Amino acid sequence: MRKKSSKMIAAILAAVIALGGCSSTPQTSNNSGGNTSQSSGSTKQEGGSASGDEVITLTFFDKNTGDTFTNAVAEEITRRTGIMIEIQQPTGDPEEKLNLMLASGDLPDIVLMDRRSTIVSRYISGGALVPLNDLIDQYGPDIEEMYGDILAKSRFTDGQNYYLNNWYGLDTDPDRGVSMRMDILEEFGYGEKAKNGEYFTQEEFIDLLTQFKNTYPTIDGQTSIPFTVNGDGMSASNAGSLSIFKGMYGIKNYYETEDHQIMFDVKDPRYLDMIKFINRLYRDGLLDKEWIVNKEQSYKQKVSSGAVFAAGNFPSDENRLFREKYGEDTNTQFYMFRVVADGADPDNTTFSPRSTLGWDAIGITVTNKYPVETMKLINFLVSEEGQYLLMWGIEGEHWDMVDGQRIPRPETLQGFQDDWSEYAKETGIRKWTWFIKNGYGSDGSPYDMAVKYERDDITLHNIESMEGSVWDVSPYDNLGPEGGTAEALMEQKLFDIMDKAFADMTYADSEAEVERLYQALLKEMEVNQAETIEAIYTKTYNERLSLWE
Amino acid sequence: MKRVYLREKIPTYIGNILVYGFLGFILIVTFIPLWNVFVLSLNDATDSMQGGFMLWPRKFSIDSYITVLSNPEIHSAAKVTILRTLIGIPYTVTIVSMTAYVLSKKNLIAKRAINFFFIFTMYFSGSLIPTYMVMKGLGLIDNFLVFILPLGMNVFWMILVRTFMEGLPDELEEAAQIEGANDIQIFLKIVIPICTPVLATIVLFVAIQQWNSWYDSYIYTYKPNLKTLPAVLVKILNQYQTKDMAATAKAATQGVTAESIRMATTMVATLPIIMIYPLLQKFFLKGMLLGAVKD
Amino acid sequence: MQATLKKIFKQRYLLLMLIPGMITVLLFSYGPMAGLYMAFIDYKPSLGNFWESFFGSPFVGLQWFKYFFSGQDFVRVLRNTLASSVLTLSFKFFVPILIAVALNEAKGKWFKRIVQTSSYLPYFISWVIASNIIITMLSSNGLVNQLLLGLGLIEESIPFLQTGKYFWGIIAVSNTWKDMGYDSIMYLAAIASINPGLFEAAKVDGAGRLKQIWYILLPMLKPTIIILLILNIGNLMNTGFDQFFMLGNATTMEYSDVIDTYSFRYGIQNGMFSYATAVSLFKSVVAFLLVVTCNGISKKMKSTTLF
Repeated sequence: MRKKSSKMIAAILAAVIALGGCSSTPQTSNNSGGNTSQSSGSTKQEGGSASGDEVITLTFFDKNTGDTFTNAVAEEITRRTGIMIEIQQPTGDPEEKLNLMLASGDLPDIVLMDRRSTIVSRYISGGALVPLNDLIDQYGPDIEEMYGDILAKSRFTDGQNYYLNNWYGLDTDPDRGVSMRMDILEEFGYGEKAKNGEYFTQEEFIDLLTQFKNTYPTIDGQTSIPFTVNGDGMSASNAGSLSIFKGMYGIKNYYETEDHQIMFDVKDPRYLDMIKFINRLYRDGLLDKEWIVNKEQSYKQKVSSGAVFAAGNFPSDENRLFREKYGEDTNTQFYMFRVVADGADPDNTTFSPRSTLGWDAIGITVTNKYPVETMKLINFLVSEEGQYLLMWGIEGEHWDMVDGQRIPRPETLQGFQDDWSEYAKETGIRKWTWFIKNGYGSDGSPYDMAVKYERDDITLHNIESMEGSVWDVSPYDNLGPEGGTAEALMEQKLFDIMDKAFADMTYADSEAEVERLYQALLKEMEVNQAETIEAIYTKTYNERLSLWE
Repeated sequence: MKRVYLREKIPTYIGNILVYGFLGFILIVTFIPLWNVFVLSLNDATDSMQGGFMLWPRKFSIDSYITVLSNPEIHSAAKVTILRTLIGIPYTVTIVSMTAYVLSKKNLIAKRAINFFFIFTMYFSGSLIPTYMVMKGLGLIDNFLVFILPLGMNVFWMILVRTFMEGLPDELEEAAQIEGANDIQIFLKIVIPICTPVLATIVLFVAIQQWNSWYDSYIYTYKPNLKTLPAVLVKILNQYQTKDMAATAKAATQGVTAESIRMATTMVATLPIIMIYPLLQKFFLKGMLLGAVKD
Repeated sequence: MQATLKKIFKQRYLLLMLIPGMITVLLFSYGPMAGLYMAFIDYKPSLGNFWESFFGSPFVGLQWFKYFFSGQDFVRVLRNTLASSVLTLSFKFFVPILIAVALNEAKGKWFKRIVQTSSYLPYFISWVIASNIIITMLSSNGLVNQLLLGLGLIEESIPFLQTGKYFWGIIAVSNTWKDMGYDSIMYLAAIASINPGLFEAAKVDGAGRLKQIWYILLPMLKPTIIILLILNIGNLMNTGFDQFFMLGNATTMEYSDVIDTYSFRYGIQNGMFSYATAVSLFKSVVAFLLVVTCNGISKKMKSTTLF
């Protein structure tokens, strides 16, 4: 025991000494011999290289990316702008770290946050972000061009822009709908209709589910489940799967009256119909009895087992499994469809909420020593040239300009087909998703090459069948009371009430019971100050609308 | 050899059935779930999605492991984690056992107060931001030592060791005191060797804590070269659960999904620690005390 | 005074050995404790000198506590917290002891090692994976229901995870399963420290295995058991967050909503640090009171005490 301990002590001392140097070895030391912005022979000097010969390193807190800034695209960016980026990615909850950084003052140079979260206003009112308007006026011509009126809509209450949006512009691709299996549709005679991308009425949908249940009470020894959804997305605060039901009725996340009053979605005149519909599915055994317990894993397990006909979240992984099992051309795959409720407008379904203002907000912090250079970097990335670099790769390497039209190289497209994450990591294409615009460049090609250039058949079908189902959610973002106030408490309580009522209503024994519970819900909400909160929603909404005009 | 009578045999049989039956039950309920995780991690990812209980991979594939282990950050993170475990163990065990020893002495001055001093901290602690500020003030942000120094003392474990030490017969120490040994010598030469079972326990606990730590690297460090193994594993997992729906849909042409990655990362994180326990088991032998008293 | 100084001198080595531990605790536990003041102010993180903004924040006294206690929810949440903890404790406390005793009784080196190692494997499975396992097992065509149906004990599958009154039981069993091996290690170490001579002597006196366990083993384990019991009771308010979050849903909310999940929804999600600190402080005070009470009871019973 003694001998062991002295050897250990020696080893420890050695290690500690070695480590003494470790903590102070910055990532930055590798750039002193690295790229200079004036590499000989480089003709592409536009984009604003840094003054001087050194490369500046900026720290970037990005919850989406986790890699080191060392691939082809990254190097090209550094070459063109003279800036090297050190990515700081939080492994845990990014908001926790963001709050911590704000409180302690240990801020990164550039910070990316969830645009819809209160952290953004906290950073702004906490004085952590640099107001960008002057910088944009001087160094950001492309920003003004690409962003257009988005800049106006993203202003803070003091009229200044403190961040730039990421993934802005309306992405018109649908991302959810009612997913149904093609082979079953064909079997029951709806094949033509499905292939044409037509919508289904409520009755047709119920008919399909019932036929499925009756024809296949069990599949491979398992009870068949005509329709299942992911339980995680069915609450007031997290409505991923719920939007599929709402979509059928054209219900949005709030109910807006003719005179721009905002109310809780439960007050939408069609809400009760929707609940009755879900309840009916449940009572008739058409909806998975255990839907509320389904977390992602159990949801996927059920769908991939082949015992499910209709599902909520689009089962792309499960489709892949079916292709592997039954062959590439198999019909046993899920396609997205519009199911339109009785009396709802088929051209105005609301399945896919999208935001013109994007998901993330990227800002420059006050601890950044190079705001000008940073703005130049940002301008470059925002510009059309920058966007194509970020999303398509390097011209001449990953894509070519042919007769004024951008064409990606086959190897590039193949790379994404074969192993998306590896390829993105290796090349850097679509890895650094900063200031991304949804839409099409001046030559008509989509910015998002990897996703939109070549679409597989199912996606093409989905785009057609889900026409008109995308709607802009950005006016309705963040209408709620500020966190930390008594009103925020009230709002959360109302969410809890709605969630519980929703569960009770969908599991009710009869339609009459649903009605009763619904009335009770409305009453309870009234007792719990629903109107006070709705007044806040309305006020914020209308203020926003006038700001945007 | 005594003759064993029948009426003594039956209780023994029943006793054995109970003991082995119970242990067998424990073995099954604890081993099988982990075996399933292991099997799923070696299963083709798409197929794993279907779940289901498997005793053996349906479609053998090491893709998930390759994805996890080929991540370049894993290697640096593994080094950090291994180092902090190797350093943390002797550091923490030393402090904990020393403190426990002192507090096990019956006539220690201000004993109640000192005990209270430690125990109070088990129930009251500062929250995240103040703790961060303290670390910052001490220069521990982005410093490897933040993985070692704050973990030097764990009151719960200290109490455990203290309880053991309190149970030691007084004759042991008295004998040494008569021979003129001071407290430090008694501690090192007599008490420690006898407490090997409980110290082995603490070594194991510290090892597990150090190995699985990711929260401190998430909160207190920014430099990528200070990320620990579990932190990187969590990051890899998050990559496969990206909220970017378009990318996830397209990326579905891959051979790996979140589930299989989760299984593989669990195995990578768990295996080393699981292997330490058997090594330490020899310290759980009976009879350490016997020898000492006879001396 | 003189006598005290003399005592200090006599125990100088002991006090020396105490220093590293005390410094560590002073720096890393008491230092941040000043931050508990956050529970009484309206702290909003903002840039600039931390200490300035901290002490400069408006004092709100017990506002956050009122916020936390107000509404009928609080009583329900507190009830859930205590009920699930007590139920968990009653299961979870004894199983590790049984495991340690059984392992001690068993022969066969390899069998023992395998069981021992296997028993603490669940500790390493994250709650994400563990909840998925549990959800699958308790689903309508999962293992448990199949067993019950097969044995003819029930006619129709029981929706376990949708029935509130089963929730605490499910939590108790899963917590036990997860930690029993890890917790048993301490008892194993304690048993290993027992003088075998005592068992020898008992055998000679004709005591069978059961008597040996009852009269020697358990009494020798008593200090450890009591200390652990006191510490665990002190931990009643800390139910853990993950398993409640993962296994609970709207249908079981009435039983599954505990202090940690409640405060997560109502405050922590919005980065309300002051609120979170207040809740934490409340839990700490209750826990501490529980511990002091149990300790006092133990003292009265002339048993081992914490301090």
